Amino acid sequence: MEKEFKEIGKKMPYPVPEDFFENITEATLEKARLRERSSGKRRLLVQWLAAAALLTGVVFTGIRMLNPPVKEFSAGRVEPLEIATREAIVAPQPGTVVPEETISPGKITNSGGNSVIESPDTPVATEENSESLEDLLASIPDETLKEWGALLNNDPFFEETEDNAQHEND
Amino acid sequence: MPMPEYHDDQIIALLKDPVSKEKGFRLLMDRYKERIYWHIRRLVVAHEEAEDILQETFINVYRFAGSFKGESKLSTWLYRIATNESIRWLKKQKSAREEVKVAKPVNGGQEGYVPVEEEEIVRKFQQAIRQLPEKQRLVFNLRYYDELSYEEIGQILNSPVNALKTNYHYAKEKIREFLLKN
Repeated sequence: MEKEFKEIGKKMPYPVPEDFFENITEATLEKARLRERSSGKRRLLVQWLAAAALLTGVVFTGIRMLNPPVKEFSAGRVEPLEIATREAIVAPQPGTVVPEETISPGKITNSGGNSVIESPDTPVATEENSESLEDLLASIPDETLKEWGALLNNDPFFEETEDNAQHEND
Repeated sequence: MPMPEYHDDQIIALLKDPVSKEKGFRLLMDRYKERIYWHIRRLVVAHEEAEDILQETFINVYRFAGSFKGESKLSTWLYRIATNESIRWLKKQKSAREEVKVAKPVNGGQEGYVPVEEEEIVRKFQQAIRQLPEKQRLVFNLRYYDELSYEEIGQILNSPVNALKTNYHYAKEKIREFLLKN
């Protein structure tokens, strides 16, 4: 022991509850037993969870191998989206049987009284699109046409071209 | 009939065997609980904390006795576990360094307890130790109170002997200074 602190010695100013040292051994042993038991249960649970996860993985891989997906996507490649166009919706699919009168330009083969469209390379025109401008004008009443003409003359944003001027002079 | 005296090696062998584990544990605690308790108490001061850390230390020994390879003494291993647990607690509770009121004893007569007339100087001494940096405090306590060799302290704190000697020297100087000033 250091001679400098001889007068102090090893005495401690801290009290200890009565019977503390008598009882601490059994109390600690009881805690140690509980801790070991609960850690054993936890270890068992972790093992069960790991086994379940492994089994799930194996089953999932097996299912994937037995039923491969129809379309394989390669990693990093972006597949273009298929956008449904009006033409695609309206145009009959190859092999479709359509009545003769509704047929529009395209590759046509005769099959009895009907025609079969084989492969339309260009968008197929519909009945509405094929209506001519003259038919459209004919269906508009004369009064309506006159009103439109008056509106056109008063329209400040309408740019007067040579054609327009000549038409007016006529 | 007196109990046979067990060596540390025998206690460890009992602890490692599941059949005699509890017997080994009782023997171990009976031999070391007071020493380890006071080592912890000097570091954390409060009894409740010292009790918790003491229990945690021995529970670790109970659970991991199988990992003790016998490369150091059993007591050194215990001090090492207790010191690590105490340091961990101290890091969590920075307020532990604050002045702790010394409570009156529940029932006088415990070993090492000081009568009131001697209390003041002993309290001052503990105060001086508590104001030391952590490493110096550990070295001082292990050397002064537990009378461990520098080699053993080196194994507990994982430090070279020369550094421990320096730490101890500075600790003494600071304590002396503190006592002179106060």
